Amino acid sequence: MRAIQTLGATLALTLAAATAQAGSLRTADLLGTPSDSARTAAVAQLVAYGVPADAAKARVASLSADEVQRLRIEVRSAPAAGGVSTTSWVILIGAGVYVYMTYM
Amino acid sequence: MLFRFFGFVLLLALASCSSYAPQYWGAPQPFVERARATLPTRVELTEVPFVAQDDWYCGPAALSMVLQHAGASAGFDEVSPKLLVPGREGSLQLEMMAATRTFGRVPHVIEPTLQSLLGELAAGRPVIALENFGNDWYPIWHYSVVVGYDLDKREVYRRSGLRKRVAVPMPIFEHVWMHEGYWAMVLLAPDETPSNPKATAWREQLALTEPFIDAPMAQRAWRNYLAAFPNDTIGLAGLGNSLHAQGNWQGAAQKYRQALQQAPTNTRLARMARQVFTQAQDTTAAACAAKVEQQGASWPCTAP
Repeated sequence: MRAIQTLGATLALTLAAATAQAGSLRTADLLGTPSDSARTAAVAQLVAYGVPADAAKARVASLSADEVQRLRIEVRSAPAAGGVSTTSWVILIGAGVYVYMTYM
Repeated sequence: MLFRFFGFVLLLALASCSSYAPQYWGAPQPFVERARATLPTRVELTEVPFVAQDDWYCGPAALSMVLQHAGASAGFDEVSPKLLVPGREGSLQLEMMAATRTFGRVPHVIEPTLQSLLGELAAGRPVIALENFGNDWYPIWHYSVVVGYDLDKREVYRRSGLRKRVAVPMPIFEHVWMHEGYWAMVLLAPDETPSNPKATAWREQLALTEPFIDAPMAQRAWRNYLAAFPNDTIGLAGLGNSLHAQGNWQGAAQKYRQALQQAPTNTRLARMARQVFTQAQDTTAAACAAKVEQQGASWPCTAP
């Protein structure tokens, strides 16, 4: 009897969990969901800048509607920090030498 | 070595013009003297791990360090594919925040002041700062992790590039940091309160982090948020959703009733509420939520 009750309870819990998963409510949906076309455009933009398609899709999926819009613009123009590369130093020092030679 | 040389050049520029670091040099007295009133003299979070970076990869390296410090399992190789934009040879601020959320931590952009940055360190949180070592015509953007400061020595300590600990004079740090509007972020646990809680930003980040944490953690997070903003619609719905995800239909329905009182004509809210009320077998409330959603009614629907 006890065993059957336990089994029943476990089953009920499992069912509840399954239902919760199936119909789970996302609070973010209250803030507005990005349209499919906006998502597609943002993914295309990332891919155009060298991000593999699968990774781009996953990245865009975690963004809010507002962020999806911003991403399309920011991929082109916002700060993209990568650090100080060797090329940067060559250009900076080169520019310094040029200014020195020209004006000093 | 080159960093040090560059710092020296900057120092020369600073010596002649205080506008290179306005907060540090600003009136009425030097920054460090003002900071002493509210902050410990020195802080260093030596336990923050160090992840070295190659060219382009300062974003993933910085985020990996801070995530690991926050207890997330986030090696460089897991973080990097979520951040790198090869065509830009770097990572975007927006995606630094988005990637943080996928590891179940909440990104929080701090107030754009030296004071708040040092305050975060004093609270035990390492700070990711966006720096610009170039200028407007040739920007060299860089993320570093600030792990400490010393008001007597007037330095901050950073993990940066290939070096685990770089001491930088505060005005020089401010100069490279101010270029992009003093942008810096810290990571919070979902149930942790930011140092300067603003409802809109906080709840948006919580809602977007929610899919990456489990329901009990989401429940704690929304309760903690509601402690600061008790009547916030999104907060109430968020708590309702976390209860719903644990199979507590009645608890969820109660939170949705409170949320609808705050936003009686919100159709998105009503759509979710209808589902919750139906599962809680409250047919009257479900019928009203449906009217709000589809016919522009207002909660609570009174009998005609």
